[in-house]
Amino acid sequence: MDHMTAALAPIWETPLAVLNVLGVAQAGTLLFALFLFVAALEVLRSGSGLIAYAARAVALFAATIAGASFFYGDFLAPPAKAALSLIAEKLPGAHQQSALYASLGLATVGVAVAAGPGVGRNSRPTRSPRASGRDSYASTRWRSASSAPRLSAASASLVLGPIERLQLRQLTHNPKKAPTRTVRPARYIGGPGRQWS
Amino acid sequence: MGMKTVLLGCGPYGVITRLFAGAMTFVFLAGVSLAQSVASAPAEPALPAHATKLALDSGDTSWMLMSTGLVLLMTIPGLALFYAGMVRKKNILATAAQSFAITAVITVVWAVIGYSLSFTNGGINQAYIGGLDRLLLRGMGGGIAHSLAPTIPESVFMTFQMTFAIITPALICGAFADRMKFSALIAFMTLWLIVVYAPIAHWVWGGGFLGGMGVLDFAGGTVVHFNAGIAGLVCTLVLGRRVGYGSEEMNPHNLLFALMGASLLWVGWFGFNAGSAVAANELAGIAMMNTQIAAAAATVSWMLFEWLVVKRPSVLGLLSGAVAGLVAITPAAGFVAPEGALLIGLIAGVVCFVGAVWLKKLVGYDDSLDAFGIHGIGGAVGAILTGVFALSSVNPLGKGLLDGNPDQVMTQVVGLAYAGIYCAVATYVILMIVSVTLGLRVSPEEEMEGLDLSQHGERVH
Repeated sequence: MDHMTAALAPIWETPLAVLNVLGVAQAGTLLFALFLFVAALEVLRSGSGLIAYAARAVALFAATIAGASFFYGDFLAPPAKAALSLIAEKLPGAHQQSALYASLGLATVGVAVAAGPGVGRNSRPTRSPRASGRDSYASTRWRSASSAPRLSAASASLVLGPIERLQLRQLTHNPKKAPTRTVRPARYIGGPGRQWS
Repeated sequence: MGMKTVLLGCGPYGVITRLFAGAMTFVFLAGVSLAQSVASAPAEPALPAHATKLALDSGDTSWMLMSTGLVLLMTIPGLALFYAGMVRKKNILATAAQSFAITAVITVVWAVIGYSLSFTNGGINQAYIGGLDRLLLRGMGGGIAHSLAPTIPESVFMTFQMTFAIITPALICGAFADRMKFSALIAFMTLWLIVVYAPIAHWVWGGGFLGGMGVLDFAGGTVVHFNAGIAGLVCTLVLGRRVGYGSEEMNPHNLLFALMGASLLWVGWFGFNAGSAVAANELAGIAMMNTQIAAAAATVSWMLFEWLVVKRPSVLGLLSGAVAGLVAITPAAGFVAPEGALLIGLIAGVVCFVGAVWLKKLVGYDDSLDAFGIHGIGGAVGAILTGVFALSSVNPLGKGLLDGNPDQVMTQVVGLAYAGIYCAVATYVILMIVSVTLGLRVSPEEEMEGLDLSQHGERVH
């Protein structure tokens, strides 16, 4: 057992060493600010209206913190530690590090919950995606496939005739375009000379 | 006529004599002042533990400058084109953009802290991680070299290693192509470089415990390819399959892009492997020769095996075979003889075909562009075979099974195990952190729409 523990020591000692070095480098605030910055940018990309304004503000705030951390080091660490100590003081009889342990525990539970339904295999769509104006053939087919028996791509193409396949192709390339039963758009059917007649 | 006039003279001679005396006085005083300043100057600061005085060799330096360019060429545009050509049309820009963005982000992270963590002395943590001697690259220049490369400036060595740090995360992108958020990618890669790549590079090359154990890794079979492959596998398992995987056609959009990318990778690999000799010497020549031989052998073996099994040799198979051979020879390039390189290439072609095609189908994970199948498996094959074929006549640092040292194979396996376990665990934790905070995967609607539009608001045509 001791042999195994010693053999596995690098696996858990390395992250501790990395954390130690990052602590010495006073990089905690910088990393936090950069993470907040990227998170704000992601919200900005997917949000609109007030959310977008708020995301921009948070991004600027995070950038300011990141810039300040180059001059003032890990200046968010003392207030964070003070807050943890305050929580510990409010819990008489509790262990000195109980607030820290509670925070870590909550984070672990959060990660475990996220690792369950929110991530990975389970994040694959098990329900129909919300319909939108940009739904393509692929999404239409996917939606029908979730409720009806699936056809393979090969068998699906065998069922369709050439006109239908062309329509599907047009739909795939330009989802906003209504399917037509002609190869060319209607305005060209008369030929180029028609406008002179 | 006073004494002064007698001594200095008068007329034009007197003027000249005065000027001469003044000049000599100035020189004397300046000399005294200089001597005093030299005497009172503080002692020259001691070199950091990882550094040494530069013994500049212009040939070595120019070769390393060129190698650095070649390795950067592997990522942009090599890997960008290679991956972009293999995805569907709606994701081509996003896939190429991943390589480009990673190049920029990792460059900054490497300059700020990555190089310092990887290649400086970590003091009490030296077995696991470097220190902060080169935080923000301070102290670079001034006739200093890294002790691993005493004949080139440390700035060149740092930039060369930076290109390795760039391509390693970029390789992982092949595993989760078509489905990861761009913001999550940036956050994940930043953390991954600090928490995974820097320690493992330090373990093997920076004076860490794996290097001390005698693990042989000439140019990054374990540090770069196996590491990236394992991280890619974990990403694949955590993110899950693409929408429509197994029920829709997901053929490469433009194999010509992939061919151009693979060709650039092949050429750039000369910088990767031969440059890892960190000198323009015989070892660099051997590494270059082995690189070419193994790449060609793996291409041939993949092609023939695929022909035998699938009835025809595909273009994608040719490209994959070449990359598999290049990956497998990476740890061995400076340790084996040409016949060893040939065998490594031949074996890697077949094993990587099995890994990238059959194993993926058998297990059912969606390793989109075979990051694990080629880089993970190819890296492991190369590392183990290095322990078999390494010859002390080629490189005195390496002595493998065929050279009478069977323990080397086990050392290589142990090295792979440490790197693999640490990489898998740390990558999983990082993915969870990013997942909880930013979310890893795009929504199904965005995925079906394509990452070009949903993540960047652009499309290729």
